[in-house]
Amino acid sequence: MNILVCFKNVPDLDALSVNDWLIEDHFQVDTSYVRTMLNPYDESALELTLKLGDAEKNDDFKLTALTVGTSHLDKVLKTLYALKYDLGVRLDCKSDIRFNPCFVSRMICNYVKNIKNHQVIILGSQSNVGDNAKTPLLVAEGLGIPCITSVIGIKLAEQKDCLSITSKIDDLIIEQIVKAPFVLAVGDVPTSYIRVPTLKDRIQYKEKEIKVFTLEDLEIKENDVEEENDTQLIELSYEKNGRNCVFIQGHHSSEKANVLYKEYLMERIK
Amino acid sequence: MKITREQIVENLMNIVGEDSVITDEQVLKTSSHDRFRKYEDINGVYTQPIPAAVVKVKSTDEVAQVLKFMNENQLNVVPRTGASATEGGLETALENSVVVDGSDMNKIIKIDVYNMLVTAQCGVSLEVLEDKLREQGYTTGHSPQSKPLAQMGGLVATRSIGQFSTLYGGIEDMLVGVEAVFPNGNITRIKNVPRRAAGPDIRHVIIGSEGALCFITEVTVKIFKYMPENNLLYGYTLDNMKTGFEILREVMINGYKPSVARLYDPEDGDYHFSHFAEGKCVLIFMAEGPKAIADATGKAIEEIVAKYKECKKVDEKFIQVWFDNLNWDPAKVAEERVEIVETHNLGFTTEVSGNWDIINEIYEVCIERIRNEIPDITLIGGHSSHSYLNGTNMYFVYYYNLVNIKPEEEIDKYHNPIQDIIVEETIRAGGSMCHHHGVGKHRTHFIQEEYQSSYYILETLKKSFDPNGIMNAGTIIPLNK
Ligand SMILES: Cc1cc2nc3c(=O)[nH]c(=O)nc-3n(C[C@H](O)[C@H](O)[C@H](O)COP(=O)(O)OP(=O)(O)OC[C@H]3O[C@@H](n4cnc5c(N)ncnc54)[C@H](O)[C@@H]3O)c2cc1C
Repeated sequence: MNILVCFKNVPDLDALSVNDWLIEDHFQVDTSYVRTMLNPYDESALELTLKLGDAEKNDDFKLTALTVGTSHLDKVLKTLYALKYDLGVRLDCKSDIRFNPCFVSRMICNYVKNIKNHQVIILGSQSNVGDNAKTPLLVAEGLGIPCITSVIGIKLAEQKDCLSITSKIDDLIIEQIVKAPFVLAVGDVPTSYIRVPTLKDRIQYKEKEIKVFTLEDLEIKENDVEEENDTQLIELSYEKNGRNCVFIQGHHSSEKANVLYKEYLMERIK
Repeated sequence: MKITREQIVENLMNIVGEDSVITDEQVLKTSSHDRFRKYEDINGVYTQPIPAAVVKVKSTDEVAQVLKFMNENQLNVVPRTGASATEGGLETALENSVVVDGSDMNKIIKIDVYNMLVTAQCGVSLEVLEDKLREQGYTTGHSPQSKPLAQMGGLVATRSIGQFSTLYGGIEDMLVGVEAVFPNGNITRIKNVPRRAAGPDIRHVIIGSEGALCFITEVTVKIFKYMPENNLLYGYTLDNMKTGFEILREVMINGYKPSVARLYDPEDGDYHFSHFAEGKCVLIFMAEGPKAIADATGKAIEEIVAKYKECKKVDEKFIQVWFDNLNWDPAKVAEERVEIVETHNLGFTTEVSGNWDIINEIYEVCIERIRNEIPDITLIGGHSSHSYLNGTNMYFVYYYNLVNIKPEEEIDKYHNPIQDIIVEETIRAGGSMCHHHGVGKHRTHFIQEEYQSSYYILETLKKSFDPNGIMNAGTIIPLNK
């Protein structure tokens, strides 16, 4: 089975102080000063897929990791090599595509259609930048294959070309055996951190080549970036989630616990 | 006849009251160790003797009575305040130990802005104290990464140091006076004066004693005017740690005192800095204090660094954002636990120091040996974060994947062998095996090598002040097994 996991690197917005949430011209928060990290949903998708690989002994099982962006992402792809992804692919793109899921999905679709077909395409549901939550659905639409959303588990299935998919919608957990091809949008997986490669593996895979494809390779024109976009960003604003804070006074913990119980918890517990 | 566990609890209740003696099984278990055994803790595995009780003391007098009782019955006492210890200092190494917890002694007794002193009980959280002082335009100048966790008693007991140490010094430079209780119940107070020459400086018997000599009940530290508006931050990328050490040295020996002077290697810096310093070392300075001094210090730093062509200046905003996210609060500790459970990847640190002529060698040899000798390593790197006229520290940071082991095997397979390499190489080169976390219980097998002939003084201190060996047995000085 050939599996493609698409991921995105995003700025660690928790590292921004309140003062840094300045919105330039109402369109842009400057996040260039904060470190970047794997988009949490994508991180879950990458790890779920690695776990699937741990369970699968078949040599035909191949994992590809794909991202869209500039060469600074090659480092992340190399880390994924060290974690035993078979192929790292970067679709080269310098444009601002944060609010352009149509374009991102077109690039992915063209890669799958024109360069390498994959039976299963796995993406995180959404990212903290753009927050569009559309890309997996658009990829499925573009390829004309089904999409399962809110996925929290992926397991091998006995049937040929099938996987067992667990998804969670509200309080309902659905488990289904699905025949490829299909797209999965990974949601709130309870365990979400990706494993860490050893130094030895990082050194071993440091030089392994990343496959880079240009817009031209994907048969996309430069000015399609904006033309493709079906949404227009009108304004960005900072949502102030003010919280009240009360310091409970007391000479010792039991006194403080008493105040907490009487004044805040007792009423709620009833 | 030896006193029973039940009798210990009963006697303690008679001294401090029933409510202040905790015997809840889970609390006792988690009180049997500290972050050195965080992997065991996460897995609910407890390998140390479970203490008989945790006693929440509320006054110096109570501490004196508890210690006297414990001493008379030859029972082990483990003093505790913020519980952020990293080196096994909180492990209850003997049966029927009692953890004496001073975290409820949390009053700020006096802020004296005329004499520039603040007096606080041992359980005052440094962050609470610092916030209170800053509201009034003052600071302790003490800012360890554990500021949201650590409390004044523990900070003195471990000889802690903070991020602004190059200007303000370590806790030993800040502590003016102190009150402590010795095992026989003796309450001693060292008064607050600007300097004294009336014999040896006995504050140093208490600072860094790690609960192995006395219980610290109250501390008085210096305060300084807080002038963040004058702060100047500088960040540079460079290729070699050796060049970085040279620059740190030049700044220090020419008499400049930046508050922050830090040098990261690419591996340790990767998590924080790779978005602007991929594969590079990072050098960071902060100049602070009165404007004229901050400006002069900043100018000198720029001039010194400019001589090294390999250094490239980076926008100070990168450094500011990193700095704002450096400290560890309880939320970060909780997050770390989840990450360990999910990834089976565990990280620790070991901090040592050395003079300028050996520090680079210590750095290089340790990194090389750990890379080659320890299995399953995912990261080995380090930084220097506290510089002095004569040398600097090296803070090694290492992570490893836990492969095919039970929780209780982690320390022997990974942590201790790594720490042993660092300590061995540091002592061999002529450095000190502990820079600021204290000895705890896992570096004690090197203590005689560390002290050499001066071990006589250390051993005599222990024998004199704690003749029954009831204070934090196995800490600093190894247990006689
Ligand atoms: C995330 C993290 C970051 C850290 N960063 C730093 C740093 O930047 N700089 C630094 O120096 N340290 C650092 N530490 C180590 C630790 O925070 C310090 O050693 C701190 O001083 C411990 O204070 P505490 O109140 O938590 O003490 P505890 O953990 O309660 O105790 C530490 C030791 O002191 C003894 N002790 C505690 N209270 C008393 C008392 N009242 N009387 C006598 N002995 C006592 C204990 O027996 C134990 O041996 C860090 C730790 C963590 C977890």
